[in-house]
Amino acid sequence: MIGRDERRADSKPKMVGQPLFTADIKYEKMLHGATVRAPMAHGRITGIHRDPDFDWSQVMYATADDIPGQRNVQMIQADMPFLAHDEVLYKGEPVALVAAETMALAEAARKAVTVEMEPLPAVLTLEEIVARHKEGGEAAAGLVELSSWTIDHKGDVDSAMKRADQVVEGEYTTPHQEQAYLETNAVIAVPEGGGCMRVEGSLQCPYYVAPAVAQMLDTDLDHLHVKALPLGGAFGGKEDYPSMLGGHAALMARLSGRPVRFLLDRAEDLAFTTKRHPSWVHIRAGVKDNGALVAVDIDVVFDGGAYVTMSPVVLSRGAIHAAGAYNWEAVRINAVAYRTHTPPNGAFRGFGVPQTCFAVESHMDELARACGSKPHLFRLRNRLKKGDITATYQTLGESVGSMEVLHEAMEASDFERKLSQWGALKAKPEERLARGIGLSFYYHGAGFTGAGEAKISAHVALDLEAADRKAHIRMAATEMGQGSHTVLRQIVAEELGVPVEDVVVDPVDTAKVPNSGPTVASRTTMIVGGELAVCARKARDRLLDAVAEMTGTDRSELALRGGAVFACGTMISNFGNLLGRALAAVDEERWTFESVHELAPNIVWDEERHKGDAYACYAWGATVAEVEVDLETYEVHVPRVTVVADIGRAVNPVLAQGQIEGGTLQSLGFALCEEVGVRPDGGLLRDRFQTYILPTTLDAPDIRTRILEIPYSRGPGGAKGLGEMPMNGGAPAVANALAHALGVRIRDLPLSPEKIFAALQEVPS
Amino acid sequence: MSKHARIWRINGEDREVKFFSLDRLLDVLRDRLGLLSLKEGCGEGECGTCSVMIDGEVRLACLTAAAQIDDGAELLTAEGIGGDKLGRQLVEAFDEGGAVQCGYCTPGVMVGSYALLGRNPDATVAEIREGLAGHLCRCTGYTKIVSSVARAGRGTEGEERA
Repeated sequence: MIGRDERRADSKPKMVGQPLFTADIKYEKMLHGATVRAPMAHGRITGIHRDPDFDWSQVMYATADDIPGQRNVQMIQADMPFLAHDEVLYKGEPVALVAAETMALAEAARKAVTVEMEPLPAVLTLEEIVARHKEGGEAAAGLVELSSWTIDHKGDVDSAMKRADQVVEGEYTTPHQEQAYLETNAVIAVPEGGGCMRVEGSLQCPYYVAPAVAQMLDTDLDHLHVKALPLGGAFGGKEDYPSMLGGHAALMARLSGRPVRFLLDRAEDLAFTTKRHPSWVHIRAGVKDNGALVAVDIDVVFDGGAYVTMSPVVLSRGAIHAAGAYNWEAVRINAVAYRTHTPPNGAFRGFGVPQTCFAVESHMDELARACGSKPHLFRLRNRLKKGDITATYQTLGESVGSMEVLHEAMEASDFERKLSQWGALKAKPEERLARGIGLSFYYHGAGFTGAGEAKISAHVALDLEAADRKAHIRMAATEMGQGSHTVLRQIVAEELGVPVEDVVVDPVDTAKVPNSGPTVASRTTMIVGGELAVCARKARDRLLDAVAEMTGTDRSELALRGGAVFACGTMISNFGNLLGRALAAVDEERWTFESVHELAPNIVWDEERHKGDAYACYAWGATVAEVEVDLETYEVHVPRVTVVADIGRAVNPVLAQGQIEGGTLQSLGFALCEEVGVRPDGGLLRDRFQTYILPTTLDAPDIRTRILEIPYSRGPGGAKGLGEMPMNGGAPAVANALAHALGVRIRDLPLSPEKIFAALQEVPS
Repeated sequence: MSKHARIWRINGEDREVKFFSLDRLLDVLRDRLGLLSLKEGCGEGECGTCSVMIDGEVRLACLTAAAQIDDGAELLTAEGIGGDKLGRQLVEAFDEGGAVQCGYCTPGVMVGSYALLGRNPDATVAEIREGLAGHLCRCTGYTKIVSSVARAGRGTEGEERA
């Protein structure tokens, strides 16, 4: 089952619109919620006024004063209020809630509330925080630091830098990027009687929402459960925000005693929910003339938005990967996230790494050029290898595909030929065309950082059920479109010895499934799948023990494969029959097998210093982008992208390709057209799909993927994490291809025609 | 606001529907007729998740007033896509080709693809990309959607479709 293109159970129903998304669900007496938002970016609330001429008798209304329990959302810190009650930290911050029988009435009620505020000075942009960060002293001290990390364990950067023949500096910036799941954020809270409440919706991490909402309601997890409904995409954008929105729905459901839905429209979702952190990265790197990397000193600034939310962990992952997949003699990384008075930035596929990867992979091409080397040869020479030491002082053990992905990417894309035949010097002004090719090379840590998997202790269960004679997976990983439920069924089927049809995934509801951790960090296949494989082996052994007893066969002669039990190669009966008989014989409805993840024994991690084994293993990748630039309009077309990824094992190759293709196109949007922007009043600028430009079929290149399988011994079938990594490579590969095509480097995403025009004006002709 | 009553032939079945002059077709199809395959992805005609075929043309239900649709009009939504051979070939091709991830854009893409292949069963990859440019998908990178449509189209070669 592992390694086969098993079809998804949800694919045909999705084609005809059968699975009900949160917006499709109706409950009797359900109310529709709407949010009253703060009118300015920073200030104090001096009054919240309800229009006395409006008929409030049919509308539920609530402010922070109506919250029975904790007023702030429990995340890494509990610093973000469900409803602002004193100080407002971003324009559009929720201040009050209304709910009514129709959305139209709720909208009208929302407009009948006025929030009065006394303004305070606001910090709004990355530009401003970077300017003050660089100035230092009082200017920097006036900023609010949300998180910072220093990684300085490998060599002495200052003395090493003196040994370099050349030192090359560069500054790189990236903007807010919107996850742009096609289904907007939506949650329903349903009172269930007996003081119980169910919160359900489009949410990635039910076990994040449950404690946050329970604390807000001042109840416990016996009285509050959270269920994931089908998700219309998430990409990190439904990791932390549903805790906020779920709290809003639950509060109104508690106050009204009726189901309440909060369904954001696209404009609200774009304007007020989390984005990828805007970033500034300064790199100072020393290199020998012979092409050997010496030292690197990296300064990272992230715009965290108004509250801490996920910033410490996003910044951490970004910093850990900031020196790239290279073997420097000395590395120093300083990373800091500052507050701006804009909506909190959060999780988005790649989790900080796409920003730092854009910087370091752009810089690698500059370093290669400085010492007269070629991009691919320079990377091959300096790549991390098995046994090498990373920036956090981790010695790389098994499953290191750095050489293999680079070689395969060169060959699959015909890189060397195109590098020599294309480029700025070969541009054809008479054809208005310049062509270029660019490479990026990267790795991505799989699972939580450091000892994170020990803190979560992923808990999974597998039931063998008498009722339907199938194996039921119970865990909290949500199906967001990525196909993980299919992959997990394949892993269980493989280890149990049955066809995938005999394995089902139970609904992800915290009342019924154990906490296998959040659906984040490229961890589901490797960590949750790995524990399910353990359960499946226990289940197989239990069943075969029972069959041995029932049939009087020697246990060592029994095997379960392909859905049937064999004794010395002769089939006894099929899995379902034997399971039914075995359970009937002991008069039980089911057998349950559980497993709890233990941290890989090789991980030693000092969180405070960010020193040690940052990840149990890494996936490795290389992306080659080909660009065509119109020399009159400076439009950039990407006809072809080649992505090579070492993911340990592709449990389902078609689904794995789908992850690589989708992540790659998101990274091309990051490279070329996606940018949110901030208005002078602190509101987000592009709050609709007419202005926030997503790549279409016509923008999407021919994406060619090659999957390499260098197995990780603790992953199921050898699998490592995959989901996030494809987001890392596209932007730097396009930037490098553009530099090749035009002979100028643009260090600020997106790579718009305006920036290309400006950059070319500065080139002396 | 005046009330309208019309009979539309939806997915091969005559259905009576009542609505007010300013009602969006999207709300009428979803809320009154229960055709939940149509989604509201953006509400302003950018994403294609509310695509519906009306008398052979793909329309965006979020930008269409129900009153614009005449009595007797023929509507096809994703719910009815498996009703003929071309639709079934599309379903098979999408399933086999891994063209579905989260599924939110999928019903709209099915409708768009059905209309496209109905006009041009031999559509090239370039024609498919052009024809589906109004459908945003954030999951797939479009690769498997385009190749699945191409495969479904080739599968219809030389055969008569319903």
